[in-house]
Amino acid sequence: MILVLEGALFLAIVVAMVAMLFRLPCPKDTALILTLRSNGLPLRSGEPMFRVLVGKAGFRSPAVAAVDSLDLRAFPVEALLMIDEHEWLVTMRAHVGGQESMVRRAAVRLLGMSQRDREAIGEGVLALAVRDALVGRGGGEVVEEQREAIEKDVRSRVAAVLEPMGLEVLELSLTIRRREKSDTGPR
Amino acid sequence: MSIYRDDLAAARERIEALETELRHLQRKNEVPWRSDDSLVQPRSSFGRTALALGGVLLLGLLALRITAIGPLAAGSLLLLLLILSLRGRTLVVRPHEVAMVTVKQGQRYSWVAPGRTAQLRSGSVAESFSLRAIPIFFEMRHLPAVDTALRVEVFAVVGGRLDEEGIERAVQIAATTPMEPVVRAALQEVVREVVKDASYSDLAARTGSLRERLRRECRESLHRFGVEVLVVGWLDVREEST
Repeated sequence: MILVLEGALFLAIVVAMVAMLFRLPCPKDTALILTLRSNGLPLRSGEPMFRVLVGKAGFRSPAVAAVDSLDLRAFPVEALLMIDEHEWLVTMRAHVGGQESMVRRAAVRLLGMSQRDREAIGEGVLALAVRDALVGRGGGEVVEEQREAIEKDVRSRVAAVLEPMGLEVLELSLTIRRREKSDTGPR
Repeated sequence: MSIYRDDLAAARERIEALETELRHLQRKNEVPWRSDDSLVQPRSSFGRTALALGGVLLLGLLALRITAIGPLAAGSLLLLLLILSLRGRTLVVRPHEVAMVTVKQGQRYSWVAPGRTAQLRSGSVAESFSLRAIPIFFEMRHLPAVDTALRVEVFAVVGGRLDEEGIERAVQIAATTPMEPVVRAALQEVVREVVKDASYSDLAARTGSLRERLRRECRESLHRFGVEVLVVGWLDVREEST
Protein backbone atom coordinates (compact mmCIF):
# COMPACT_ATOMS: atom_id res chain seq x y z
CA MET A 1 0.00 0.00 0.00
CA ILE A 2 2.77 2.39 0.99
CA LEU A 3 4.62 1.45 -2.18
CA VAL A 4 1.56 2.35 -4.30
CA LEU A 5 1.17 5.67 -2.51
CA GLU A 6 4.83 6.48 -2.96
CA GLY A 7 4.59 5.56 -6.63
CA ALA A 8 1.50 7.75 -7.11
CA LEU A 9 3.21 10.65 -5.35
CA PHE A 10 6.32 10.25 -7.49
CA LEU A 11 4.16 10.14 -10.64
CA ALA A 12 2.23 13.26 -9.57
CA ILE A 13 5.48 15.15 -8.94
CA VAL A 14 6.84 14.10 -12.34
CA VAL A 15 3.60 15.15 -14.09
CA ALA A 16 3.57 18.51 -12.26
CA MET A 17 7.21 19.14 -13.18
CA VAL A 18 6.61 18.26 -16.83
CA ALA A 19 3.52 20.51 -16.86
CA MET A 20 5.51 23.39 -15.37
CA LEU A 21 8.37 22.91 -17.80
CA PHE A 22 6.25 22.73 -20.93
CA ARG A 23 3.45 25.13 -20.00
CA LEU A 24 3.23 28.25 -22.15
CA PRO A 25 1.62 31.07 -20.19
CA CYS A 26 -0.10 33.61 -22.42
CA PRO A 27 -0.39 37.04 -20.78
CA LYS A 28 -3.52 39.12 -21.25
CA ASP A 29 -3.58 41.19 -24.46
CA THR A 30 -0.96 38.96 -26.02
CA ALA A 31 -1.20 36.28 -28.67
CA LEU A 32 1.35 33.51 -28.90
CA ILE A 33 2.43 32.41 -32.35
CA LEU A 34 3.65 28.83 -32.32
CA THR A 35 5.64 27.86 -35.40
CA LEU A 36 5.28 24.11 -35.87
CA ARG A 37 7.63 21.56 -37.30
CA SER A 38 6.87 20.76 -40.91
CA ASN A 39 8.75 17.53 -41.36
CA GLY A 40 7.97 15.97 -44.72
CA LEU A 41 6.02 18.96 -46.06
CA PRO A 42 7.20 20.80 -49.21
CA LEU A 43 9.59 23.62 -48.30
CA ARG A 44 8.36 26.15 -50.86
CA SER A 45 4.61 25.78 -51.00
CA GLY A 46 1.53 25.22 -48.88
CA GLU A 47 0.03 27.00 -45.93
CA PRO A 48 2.46 28.22 -43.24
CA MET A 49 2.51 25.79 -40.32
CA PHE A 50 1.71 27.81 -37.24
CA ARG A 51 -0.85 27.90 -34.46
CA VAL A 52 -2.08 30.86 -32.45
CA LEU A 53 -2.98 31.04 -28.78
CA VAL A 54 -5.07 34.02 -27.73
CA GLY A 55 -5.61 34.75 -24.05
CA LYS A 56 -5.15 31.18 -22.85
CA ALA A 57 -2.18 29.10 -21.82
CA GLY A 58 -0.98 26.19 -23.87
CA PHE A 59 1.66 23.50 -23.88
CA ARG A 60 4.90 23.42 -25.72
CA SER A 61 4.67 20.05 -27.40
CA PRO A 62 7.61 18.58 -29.33
CA ALA A 63 5.82 19.71 -32.51
CA VAL A 64 6.42 23.38 -31.58
CA ALA A 65 9.63 24.73 -33.08
CA ALA A 66 9.46 28.40 -32.02
CA VAL A 67 7.26 30.66 -29.93
CA ASP A 68 6.73 34.40 -30.61
CA SER A 69 4.40 36.87 -29.00
CA LEU A 70 2.21 39.48 -30.62
CA ASP A 71 0.98 42.53 -28.76
CA LEU A 72 -2.81 42.85 -28.94
CA ARG A 73 -3.05 46.12 -26.99
CA ALA A 74 -4.80 49.04 -28.61
CA PHE A 75 -2.61 51.86 -29.87
CA PRO A 76 -3.66 55.46 -30.50
CA VAL A 77 -3.02 57.24 -33.79
CA GLU A 78 -3.51 60.90 -34.54
CA ALA A 79 -3.22 62.78 -37.82
CA LEU A 80 -3.50 66.52 -38.33
CA LEU A 81 -4.10 67.63 -41.90
CA MET A 82 -4.39 71.03 -43.48
CA ILE A 83 -6.61 70.74 -46.53
CA ASP A 84 -7.72 73.91 -48.28
CA GLU A 85 -9.39 76.15 -45.71
CA HIS A 86 -9.88 73.38 -43.14
CA GLU A 87 -7.85 71.76 -40.43
CA TRP A 88 -8.65 68.07 -40.00
CA LEU A 89 -7.86 66.26 -36.80
CA VAL A 90 -8.41 62.52 -37.06
CA THR A 91 -7.89 60.31 -34.04
CA MET A 92 -8.11 56.57 -34.02
CA ARG A 93 -7.58 53.62 -31.72
CA ALA A 94 -6.78 50.31 -33.36
CA HIS A 95 -5.61 46.89 -32.26
CA VAL A 96 -4.91 43.44 -33.60
CA GLY A 97 -8.32 41.78 -33.90
CA GLY A 98 -8.95 39.07 -31.30
CA GLN A 99 -10.31 36.48 -33.75
CA GLU A 100 -7.96 33.74 -34.89
CA SER A 101 -8.16 34.76 -38.56
CA MET A 102 -7.08 38.32 -37.70
CA VAL A 103 -4.21 37.14 -35.49
CA ARG A 104 -3.02 34.86 -38.30
CA ARG A 105 -2.94 37.82 -40.70
CA ALA A 106 -1.16 39.97 -38.13
CA ALA A 107 1.39 37.19 -37.58
CA VAL A 108 2.44 37.53 -41.22
CA ARG A 109 2.33 41.31 -41.53
CA LEU A 110 3.09 42.67 -38.05
CA LEU A 111 5.13 40.11 -36.09
CA GLY A 112 8.24 41.75 -34.67
CA MET A 113 7.18 45.23 -35.82
CA SER A 114 7.86 48.13 -33.46
CA GLN A 115 5.01 50.17 -32.02
CA ARG A 116 6.44 53.23 -33.81
CA ASP A 117 6.03 51.53 -37.19
CA ARG A 118 2.48 50.46 -36.35
CA GLU A 119 1.68 54.07 -35.51
CA ALA A 120 3.43 55.31 -38.67
CA ILE A 121 1.28 52.97 -40.75
CA GLY A 122 -1.86 54.09 -38.91
CA GLU A 123 -1.01 57.78 -39.36
CA GLY A 124 -0.31 57.47 -43.08
CA VAL A 125 -3.39 55.34 -43.70
CA LEU A 126 -5.57 57.89 -41.87
CA ALA A 127 -4.17 60.78 -43.90
CA LEU A 128 -4.71 58.96 -47.19
CA ALA A 129 -8.23 57.87 -46.19
CA VAL A 130 -9.25 61.47 -45.45
CA ARG A 131 -7.97 62.64 -48.84
CA ASP A 132 -9.68 59.75 -50.62
CA ALA A 133 -12.92 60.39 -48.75
CA LEU A 134 -12.94 63.97 -50.06
CA VAL A 135 -12.91 62.80 -53.68
CA GLY A 136 -16.08 63.95 -55.40
CA ARG A 137 -17.21 66.18 -52.55
CA GLY A 138 -17.40 69.93 -52.72
CA GLY A 139 -15.29 72.26 -50.61
CA GLY A 140 -16.13 74.97 -48.08
CA GLU A 141 -19.21 74.64 -45.92
CA VAL A 142 -20.36 71.54 -47.80
CA VAL A 143 -17.51 69.62 -46.17
CA GLU A 144 -18.51 70.73 -42.68
CA GLU A 145 -22.11 69.70 -43.33
CA GLN A 146 -20.98 66.28 -44.50
CA ARG A 147 -18.73 65.64 -41.50
CA GLU A 148 -20.59 62.53 -40.33
CA ALA A 149 -20.72 61.00 -43.80
CA ILE A 150 -17.00 61.71 -44.30
CA GLU A 151 -16.16 60.19 -40.92
CA LYS A 152 -18.08 57.04 -41.84
CA ASP A 153 -16.34 56.94 -45.22
CA VAL A 154 -12.89 57.42 -43.65
CA ARG A 155 -13.59 54.64 -41.14
CA SER A 156 -14.61 52.16 -43.82
CA ARG A 157 -11.56 53.04 -45.95
CA VAL A 158 -9.17 52.70 -43.01
CA ALA A 159 -10.77 49.39 -41.99
CA ALA A 160 -10.44 48.06 -45.56
CA VAL A 161 -6.69 48.81 -45.55
CA LEU A 162 -5.94 47.62 -42.01
CA GLU A 163 -7.99 44.41 -42.11
CA PRO A 164 -5.58 42.48 -44.40
CA MET A 165 -2.87 43.28 -41.82
CA GLY A 166 -5.03 41.86 -39.02
CA LEU A 167 -5.78 45.27 -37.50
CA GLU A 168 -9.21 46.38 -36.36
CA VAL A 169 -10.45 49.94 -35.84
CA LEU A 170 -11.91 50.42 -32.35
CA GLU A 171 -12.69 54.13 -32.44
CA LEU A 172 -12.36 56.85 -35.01
CA SER A 173 -13.32 60.48 -34.70
CA LEU A 174 -12.97 63.39 -37.02
CA THR A 175 -12.85 67.05 -36.11
CA ILE A 176 -12.99 69.75 -38.78
CA ARG A 177 -12.01 73.29 -37.97
CA ARG A 178 -12.07 76.20 -40.35
CA ARG A 179 -8.69 77.89 -40.47
CA GLU A 180 -8.24 81.61 -40.26
CA LYS A 181 -7.49 83.33 -43.55
CA SER A 182 -3.86 83.97 -42.59
CA ASP A 183 -3.44 80.24 -41.81
CA THR A 184 -4.50 79.11 -45.27
CA GLY A 185 -1.42 78.00 -47.12
CA PRO A 186 -1.11 76.53 -50.57
CA ARG A 187 -1.79 73.02 -49.22
CA MET B 1 -1.64 92.90 -36.58
CA SER B 2 -1.13 91.61 -40.13
CA ILE B 3 2.65 91.55 -39.59
CA TYR B 4 2.18 89.16 -36.64
CA ARG B 5 -0.15 87.00 -38.71
CA ASP B 6 2.42 86.81 -41.52
CA ASP B 7 5.06 85.83 -38.97
CA LEU B 8 2.76 83.17 -37.58
CA ALA B 9 2.06 81.78 -41.04
CA ALA B 10 5.78 81.76 -41.85
CA ALA B 11 6.58 80.00 -38.57
CA ARG B 12 3.92 77.37 -39.27
CA GLU B 13 5.37 76.83 -42.75
CA ARG B 14 8.80 76.35 -41.21
CA ILE B 15 7.47 73.91 -38.61
CA GLU B 16 5.74 71.92 -41.32
CA ALA B 17 8.96 71.82 -43.36
CA LEU B 18 10.93 70.65 -40.31
CA GLU B 19 8.31 68.01 -39.54
CA THR B 20 8.54 66.72 -43.10
CA GLU B 21 12.31 66.60 -42.86
CA LEU B 22 12.12 64.79 -39.51
CA ARG B 23 9.70 62.21 -40.90
CA HIS B 24 12.01 61.72 -43.87
CA LEU B 25 14.96 61.11 -41.57
CA GLN B 26 12.94 58.70 -39.42
CA ARG B 27 11.90 56.73 -42.49
CA LYS B 28 15.52 56.29 -43.45
CA ASN B 29 15.83 53.82 -40.62
CA GLU B 30 12.97 51.62 -41.70
CA VAL B 31 12.51 47.96 -40.97
CA PRO B 32 15.03 46.16 -43.15
CA TRP B 33 13.77 43.74 -45.77
CA ARG B 34 16.77 41.57 -45.39
CA SER B 35 18.62 40.92 -42.21
CA ASP B 36 21.20 38.58 -40.86
CA ASP B 37 19.95 38.91 -37.29
CA SER B 38 18.16 36.15 -35.48
CA LEU B 39 14.87 36.27 -37.41
CA VAL B 40 15.61 32.92 -38.91
CA GLN B 41 16.91 31.13 -35.89
CA PRO B 42 18.99 28.07 -36.45
CA ARG B 43 17.76 25.94 -33.59
CA SER B 44 20.60 24.98 -31.36
CA SER B 45 21.15 21.32 -30.68
CA PHE B 46 21.64 22.01 -26.96
CA GLY B 47 18.31 20.37 -26.12
CA ARG B 48 19.20 17.20 -27.94
CA THR B 49 22.72 17.21 -26.50
CA ALA B 50 21.37 17.60 -22.98
CA LEU B 51 18.89 14.77 -23.58
CA ALA B 52 21.60 12.50 -24.91
CA LEU B 53 24.01 13.33 -22.07
CA GLY B 54 21.23 12.74 -19.52
CA GLY B 55 20.59 9.38 -21.13
CA VAL B 56 24.26 8.50 -20.99
CA LEU B 57 24.38 9.44 -17.32
CA LEU B 58 21.29 7.35 -16.54
CA LEU B 59 22.68 4.39 -18.42
CA GLY B 60 26.00 4.81 -16.65
CA LEU B 61 24.20 4.55 -13.35
CA LEU B 62 22.32 1.50 -14.61
CA ALA B 63 25.57 0.00 -15.79
CA LEU B 64 26.81 -0.01 -12.21
CA ARG B 65 23.97 -2.43 -11.46
CA ILE B 66 23.74 -4.38 -14.72
CA THR B 67 27.21 -4.53 -16.13
CA ALA B 68 26.25 -6.35 -19.32
CA ILE B 69 24.05 -3.71 -21.02
CA GLY B 70 25.66 -0.53 -19.69
CA PRO B 71 28.63 -0.08 -22.04
CA LEU B 72 26.62 -1.16 -25.09
CA ALA B 73 23.77 1.30 -24.45
CA ALA B 74 26.14 4.13 -23.60
CA GLY B 75 28.07 3.48 -26.79
CA SER B 76 24.82 3.50 -28.83
CA LEU B 77 23.75 6.81 -27.31
CA LEU B 78 27.11 8.43 -28.02
CA LEU B 79 26.83 7.24 -31.62
CA LEU B 80 23.33 8.77 -31.84
CA LEU B 81 24.68 12.04 -30.48
CA LEU B 82 27.40 12.03 -33.11
CA ILE B 83 24.83 11.44 -35.89
CA LEU B 84 22.63 14.25 -34.55
CA SER B 85 25.52 16.71 -34.46
CA LEU B 86 26.52 15.81 -38.02
CA ARG B 87 22.94 16.28 -39.28
CA GLY B 88 23.24 20.05 -38.94
CA ARG B 89 20.98 22.64 -37.36
CA THR B 90 17.27 23.09 -37.84
CA LEU B 91 16.03 26.31 -39.41
CA VAL B 92 12.78 27.63 -38.03
CA VAL B 93 11.14 30.05 -40.44
CA ARG B 94 8.52 32.15 -38.72
CA PRO B 95 5.22 33.16 -40.46
CA HIS B 96 6.48 36.68 -41.29
CA GLU B 97 9.71 35.76 -43.06
CA VAL B 98 11.32 33.70 -45.75
CA ALA B 99 14.67 32.01 -45.17
CA MET B 100 17.22 32.71 -47.90
CA VAL B 101 19.81 29.98 -47.79
CA THR B 102 23.11 30.48 -49.58
CA VAL B 103 25.10 27.34 -50.22
CA LYS B 104 28.65 26.76 -51.43
CA GLN B 105 30.21 30.17 -50.76
CA GLY B 106 27.38 32.20 -52.30
CA GLN B 107 27.37 30.40 -55.63
CA ARG B 108 23.90 28.99 -55.23
CA TYR B 109 20.90 30.02 -53.16
CA SER B 110 17.65 28.47 -52.12
CA TRP B 111 14.73 29.56 -49.99
CA VAL B 112 12.31 28.16 -47.46
CA ALA B 113 8.69 29.36 -47.26
CA PRO B 114 7.14 30.97 -44.14
CA GLY B 115 6.07 28.63 -41.35
CA ARG B 116 8.43 25.81 -42.31
CA THR B 117 11.33 24.04 -40.65
CA ALA B 118 14.29 22.69 -42.58
CA GLN B 119 17.73 21.28 -41.98
CA LEU B 120 20.57 23.73 -42.50
CA ARG B 121 23.57 21.90 -43.91
CA SER B 122 26.99 22.77 -42.59
CA GLY B 123 28.65 25.46 -44.69
CA SER B 124 25.28 27.05 -45.60
CA VAL B 125 24.34 30.54 -44.51
CA ALA B 126 20.74 31.57 -43.76
CA GLU B 127 19.32 35.08 -43.92
CA SER B 128 15.83 36.37 -43.33
CA PHE B 129 13.73 38.13 -45.94
CA SER B 130 10.88 39.95 -44.24
CA LEU B 131 7.25 39.74 -45.44
CA ARG B 132 6.14 42.33 -42.86
CA ALA B 133 4.20 45.44 -43.80
CA ILE B 134 6.69 48.27 -44.29
CA PRO B 135 5.69 51.95 -44.29
CA ILE B 136 7.46 54.05 -46.92
CA PHE B 137 7.34 57.81 -47.00
CA PHE B 138 9.14 59.98 -49.51
CA GLU B 139 9.07 63.45 -50.95
CA MET B 140 9.82 64.27 -54.58
CA ARG B 141 10.82 67.82 -55.44
CA HIS B 142 10.89 69.72 -58.76
CA LEU B 143 8.72 67.09 -60.37
CA PRO B 144 7.74 68.24 -63.88
CA ALA B 145 3.98 68.34 -64.49
CA VAL B 146 2.16 69.60 -67.60
CA ASP B 147 2.11 73.23 -66.47
CA THR B 148 4.55 73.62 -63.56
CA ALA B 149 7.03 71.94 -61.22
CA LEU B 150 5.61 70.18 -58.18
CA ARG B 151 6.58 68.89 -54.78
CA VAL B 152 4.80 65.65 -53.96
CA GLU B 153 4.72 63.71 -50.69
CA VAL B 154 3.90 60.05 -51.10
CA PHE B 155 3.03 57.44 -48.51
CA ALA B 156 2.83 53.70 -49.14
CA VAL B 157 2.65 50.50 -47.16
CA VAL B 158 4.19 47.52 -48.91
CA GLY B 159 4.87 43.93 -47.97
CA GLY B 160 6.26 40.83 -49.62
CA ARG B 161 3.89 38.80 -51.82
CA LEU B 162 2.77 35.64 -50.08
CA ASP B 163 2.45 33.38 -53.13
CA GLU B 164 5.24 31.07 -54.28
CA GLU B 165 5.95 32.99 -57.49
CA GLY B 166 6.09 36.31 -55.63
CA ILE B 167 8.49 34.98 -53.01
CA GLU B 168 10.71 33.50 -55.72
CA ARG B 169 10.91 36.87 -57.51
CA ALA B 170 11.58 38.87 -54.35
CA VAL B 171 14.26 36.46 -53.21
CA GLN B 172 15.94 36.58 -56.64
CA ILE B 173 16.28 40.36 -56.30
CA ALA B 174 17.10 40.39 -52.59
CA ALA B 175 19.85 37.79 -53.10
CA THR B 176 21.85 40.22 -55.18
CA THR B 177 20.77 43.76 -54.24
CA PRO B 178 19.10 45.59 -51.32
CA MET B 179 15.32 45.58 -51.74
CA GLU B 180 14.54 48.98 -50.25
CA PRO B 181 16.08 51.18 -53.01
CA VAL B 182 14.49 48.97 -55.69
CA VAL B 183 11.00 49.41 -54.24
CA ARG B 184 11.49 53.12 -53.61
CA ALA B 185 12.78 53.72 -57.14
CA ALA B 186 9.86 51.77 -58.65
CA LEU B 187 7.35 53.83 -56.66
CA GLN B 188 9.10 57.09 -57.60
CA GLU B 189 9.09 56.12 -61.27
CA VAL B 190 5.34 55.51 -61.20
CA VAL B 191 4.70 58.84 -59.41
CA ARG B 192 6.86 60.63 -62.01
CA GLU B 193 4.87 59.02 -64.86
CA VAL B 194 1.50 59.89 -63.32
CA VAL B 195 2.46 63.49 -62.53
CA LYS B 196 4.04 64.06 -65.94
CA ASP B 197 0.68 63.72 -67.71
CA ALA B 198 -1.30 65.86 -65.27
CA SER B 199 -1.54 69.52 -64.39
CA TYR B 200 -1.31 70.99 -60.89
CA SER B 201 -5.04 71.69 -60.88
CA ASP B 202 -5.78 68.06 -61.83
CA LEU B 203 -3.65 66.78 -58.96
CA ALA B 204 -4.89 69.29 -56.41
CA ALA B 205 -8.53 68.85 -57.44
CA ARG B 206 -10.51 66.23 -55.62
CA THR B 207 -10.72 63.74 -58.46
CA GLY B 208 -10.27 60.04 -57.95
CA SER B 209 -8.99 58.99 -61.38
CA LEU B 210 -5.35 60.02 -60.81
CA ARG B 211 -5.28 58.45 -57.36
CA GLU B 212 -6.72 55.27 -58.83
CA ARG B 213 -4.14 55.32 -61.64
CA LEU B 214 -1.31 55.72 -59.13
CA ARG B 215 -2.59 52.77 -57.09
CA ARG B 216 -3.05 50.54 -60.14
CA GLU B 217 0.33 51.30 -61.66
CA CYS B 218 2.20 50.94 -58.36
CA ARG B 219 0.56 47.55 -57.82
CA GLU B 220 1.48 46.38 -61.32
CA SER B 221 5.02 47.72 -61.08
CA LEU B 222 5.86 46.21 -57.69
CA HIS B 223 4.07 42.92 -58.43
CA ARG B 224 6.96 42.11 -60.78
CA PHE B 225 9.42 42.46 -57.91
CA GLY B 226 7.45 40.13 -55.66
CA VAL B 227 6.13 43.02 -53.56
CA GLU B 228 2.49 43.73 -52.74
CA VAL B 229 1.25 47.29 -52.34
CA LEU B 230 -1.14 47.39 -49.40
CA VAL B 231 -1.87 51.10 -49.75
CA VAL B 232 -0.39 54.02 -51.69
CA GLY B 233 -1.29 57.63 -52.36
CA TRP B 234 -0.02 61.17 -52.19
CA LEU B 235 -0.37 63.05 -48.95
CA ASP B 236 0.37 66.45 -50.38
CA VAL B 237 0.93 68.17 -53.72
CA ARG B 238 2.38 71.66 -53.86
CA GLU B 239 3.39 73.95 -56.65
CA GLU B 240 6.97 75.14 -56.44
CA SER B 241 9.18 77.43 -58.43
CA THR B 242 11.82 75.69 -60.56
